[in-house]
This record gives sequence, structure tokens and C-alpha cells, in this order.
Amino acid sequence: MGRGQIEEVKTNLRLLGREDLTALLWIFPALLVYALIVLLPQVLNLGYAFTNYDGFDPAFSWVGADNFVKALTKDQDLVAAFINTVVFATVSLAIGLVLQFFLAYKLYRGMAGSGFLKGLFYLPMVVSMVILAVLWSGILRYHGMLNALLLAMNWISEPVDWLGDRTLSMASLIFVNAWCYLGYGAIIFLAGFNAIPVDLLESADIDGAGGWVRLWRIYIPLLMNSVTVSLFIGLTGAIKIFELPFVLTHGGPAGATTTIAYGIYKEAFDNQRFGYSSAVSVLFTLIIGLLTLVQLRATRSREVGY
Amino acid sequence: MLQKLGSAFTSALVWLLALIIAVPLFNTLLSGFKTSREINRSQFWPTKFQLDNFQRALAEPSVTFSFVNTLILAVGGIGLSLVLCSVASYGLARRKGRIFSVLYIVFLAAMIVPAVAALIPLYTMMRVSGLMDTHVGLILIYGAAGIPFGVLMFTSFIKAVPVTLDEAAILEGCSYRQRFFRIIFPLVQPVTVSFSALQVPTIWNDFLMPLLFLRSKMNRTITLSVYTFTREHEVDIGAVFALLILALIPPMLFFAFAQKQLYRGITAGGVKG
Repeated sequence: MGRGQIEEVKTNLRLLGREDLTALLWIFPALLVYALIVLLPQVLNLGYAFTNYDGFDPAFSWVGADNFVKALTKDQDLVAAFINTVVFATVSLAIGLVLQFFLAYKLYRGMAGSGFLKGLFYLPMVVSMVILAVLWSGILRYHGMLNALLLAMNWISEPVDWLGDRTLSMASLIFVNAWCYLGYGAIIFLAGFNAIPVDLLESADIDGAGGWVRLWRIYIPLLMNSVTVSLFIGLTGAIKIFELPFVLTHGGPAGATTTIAYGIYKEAFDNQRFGYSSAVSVLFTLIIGLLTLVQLRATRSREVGY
Repeated sequence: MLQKLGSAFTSALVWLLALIIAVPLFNTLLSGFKTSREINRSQFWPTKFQLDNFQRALAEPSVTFSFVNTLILAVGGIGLSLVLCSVASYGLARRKGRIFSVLYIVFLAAMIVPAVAALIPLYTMMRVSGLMDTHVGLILIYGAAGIPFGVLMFTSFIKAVPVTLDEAAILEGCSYRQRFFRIIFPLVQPVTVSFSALQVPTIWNDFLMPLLFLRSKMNRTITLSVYTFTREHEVDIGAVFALLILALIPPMLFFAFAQKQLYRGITAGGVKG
């Protein structure tokens, strides 16, 4: 290697080092903001989980794993909130997926007004859940529009307490949630339908496959990926649900519609138990994190050709 | 014949679903023009379309302010994310060193954890830093929350830009800064648009952060102002519906303009907080 070449390599290396430094310098502002506002709270939260911090008094003390022990073994309210959340998520998704799939199928096959319908079904998705919840409370409250309608039709003899009855209040939340997410899920499925290669459908035609055979042998298997995406987006959304119980039922009656996210909020900001609430949210984060990782894996493996 | 009948039946089902979606929205639209008495009697069609409800809703100055506040937060939050992410992503996409791939993963890591867990410490941090009840505090939070997704979008887009463009610029003697501003930045504008289209509803519709971090009436966002107005004026249901109509206008306008963009966003993988 000649002297000139060595010099050249050296300059290149120096240049490379300098470029790296410049790049790091340009990454730094984003990293700083991200570390302070996104990462630090997560770390602090983990720390709070081992204390009896009340949110204001800086003289809190360490309580070891007490908060976790309480959350996992003694807290009946948390168990109830967990069950409520699971019921809410499962039923919402079961109803949601069937309706979304059906809707997407009809829109894909093409029907009169499908462009208008697509927009209409998607519309609730761009509106805040709080605004939709307020809108629905006008309909579902005791002297609301739904009861008036049903009374006028003589279908009921006295008003139904849609938001105050233990079972009905949960059913109402599930209904409103399905109402909000219907179009969003349908559009995910519609994208899946549109990605199915035309020649596959043509050969199905040649083989004389009828509607049902097509549905079960082509559409459903090829749409499993869309099912996965819609399922997980719906699932993580439903598990984190906060606004609907907060506005429509305040978690009641008697905690019947208190979800985990709402419970965390109440423990921290109503009952001033920051430490305990942090412990619960750490456990909650673990569950959601795990679900999201599974989702990422599932979505990556969906990039398989037909 | 049977198939046609089935198809007609399922089409009817779709229109029934459409009705279930449309009626509550339409009812809100009508109720904004009814008197409170008409609403409480559950009269479907207003006897006379009157604007008193809107007057009473807008008589509360904080309501008008809330629209401006929400706009400030959305523009500020999205602007902050855009500046931080575009600038950071150039290095993340182009430099080969190990540290860059590690940083990239660090940036994306937050996509896995829910924001709920961060609320409790954020509350203390906002109080201690004096950012409680300020727009700056919320802009910082929204801007930071957009970083993981912003870095993902910008980095993958820049990676698809041919490196030969950079190399040619280096030969011409362009510095890192010049290359970014003259070559990369003009090319990433599609990402700026699609990132903004995704973030607008996220920030505009957020409720939890304003609920926790905004105290004074005049700082309220639209969602917070709808919520508090509903609680404070429960009797004046007509004004509540008028406010709901006003609150529905911005997202509907946004939807009208960004519809294609939104559908594409879902098709590309679909993310909604």
C-alpha cells in the first residue's frame, strides 16, 4: 500500500467519523425530547410502583413489592375491572369482526352507494370518543331519545335504564364501541379483499366455485392477515378503553363498567394513590406490550405471497 | 334467483347498519336547532330551526377559545415532531454504524408501551417543571409522542431514496446540512403530509392529556370544553347539542379533505392509538 493510498484511507476514515458525529448531533434533539418525555416517565413509573407516593408529598417511602402483592392478590376492585375489561374487549371484538367482515365483503362485491357508505361508516373514526360518548348519552340516558322512541312504539311500558343497570350499562358501552369502530375495521378488511389477485378469482370461476365455496375457500383464508390486524388494533384499543366509561357511566353502577384504564386513573387522580396506581399500570403495560409484540410478529409473517 | 334474493337481503342489512350509524349523527344535527323542551319531549323534527342554542353555547368565551387552543396544540405538536423526526431520520437512515441501528430501535421501542403508564409521572413532571396548565407543556408531550411513528416513517422513506444522490452531492462538495436541506428535505414532503394526516385526529381528539394537564377555562381544548360544558349545563341540553355540532365540524372538514390519505394510512398497516 502506497503512502498516498494510506493517506486517502485516513482522510476517508476521518470524514466518516466526522459524518457520524454530525449525524449524532442532528439526532440529539429528537433523542433528548424523546428520552425526557417518553422514556423517563416509564422509568419513573416503575420506580413509583415500589413506593407509597401520593402525587404531592415528596417524603414518600419505599414499600418494596407491597403494591404488586396487593394488586395481584388482594384487590377485589382490580379483579372486577380486569373481568369488565376482558368482557368488554371480547364481546366488542366478536361482534365487531363479524360485522366488519360482512360489511367489507358487501362493499367489495360492489353495491349501490358503496362510496357514500364507506365514508359514512368511517366517519365516527375521525371524531373524538368523548364527543361521540356525549352524543350517545343524549340518546341512551333515562329520558333520552331511545326510550322515547321505544315508548312511542309501545315496545316498552316504562323507560329502560340503559346506562344505570349492571348488565345493560356494559352492553351499552359495547354497542357504542362497536358503533365507533365498525367502519375502521371494515376498511382494513376491504383493503385485504382488494389485495386478492384477480387471476385467483378467475380460476375459481373456471373451476365453477360458487359463492359459499369462494367465501370459505378463498376469501376467509386469504383474509386471515386482515383479521389479525383488525383483531389486534381492536383488542389494544378495547383494552385501553377510558373515555366511554368515563363519560357514559362513570364506571358505574357500583363499578360494573370500571375498566382497567379507568381504574388506574381513579386510583391515581381521585384517590391520590400514585404508588399503587403505578404498580397496576406497570402490570397493564406488560400485558399490552406483550400483545403488541405478538401483533408485530403476526403482521410481519403476513407478508407471505399467495 | 335464490342468490339474488340473498344479495338483496344482505344489501338491506348494510343499509340498516348505515341507518344505525347515521341516525345518531343526524339526530345531533337536528337537536342543535331544537328548543330544550322539544329535545326533552324527544320530538324528532324541530318545529322551527332556531339558532338560540348556538348563541348560548358560544356565549361562553372558553368555548370559542377552545377551538383556537386545539389548533395551536395540533400545529405545535405536529410541527415539533416533524422538525425533530425529519432531521434525526437522515442520519438514522444513512449512517451505517452500530450506534445508529441501536438508536433506531430505541426510538421505536415506545410503540409497544401504552401512554397510560406515563401519565402518573408526567403529572408530577409537569407540576414540578411549571408546565402544568400551559400549551407549551402539551405541545412537548404531543410532539414527543409522535416521535416513534415519525422516525419510523421518515427513516424508511429516506432509505428508499437512492444513495447515489447523496454521493453526487458529496462530490460537489455539499456538507451534511446542505445535502439534507437541498436533496432529502424536498423529497420527504409526502411523509410530512401522511404523518400530519395521521397525527391531526390523534391530537385533535385527545381527551386524557387536556383533562389532566389543563386547568384554566381559557386553555381548554374542544374535547375538554365539550365534556365540561355538558357537565355544567346539563339542563341546557339544546346548547350541548349545538356545541356538539360545532365540535363535529372540524373533524368532518378534515375527513372530507384527507379521506384518501386516511384510507391509505390504514391499508399500509393501520395505526390508531
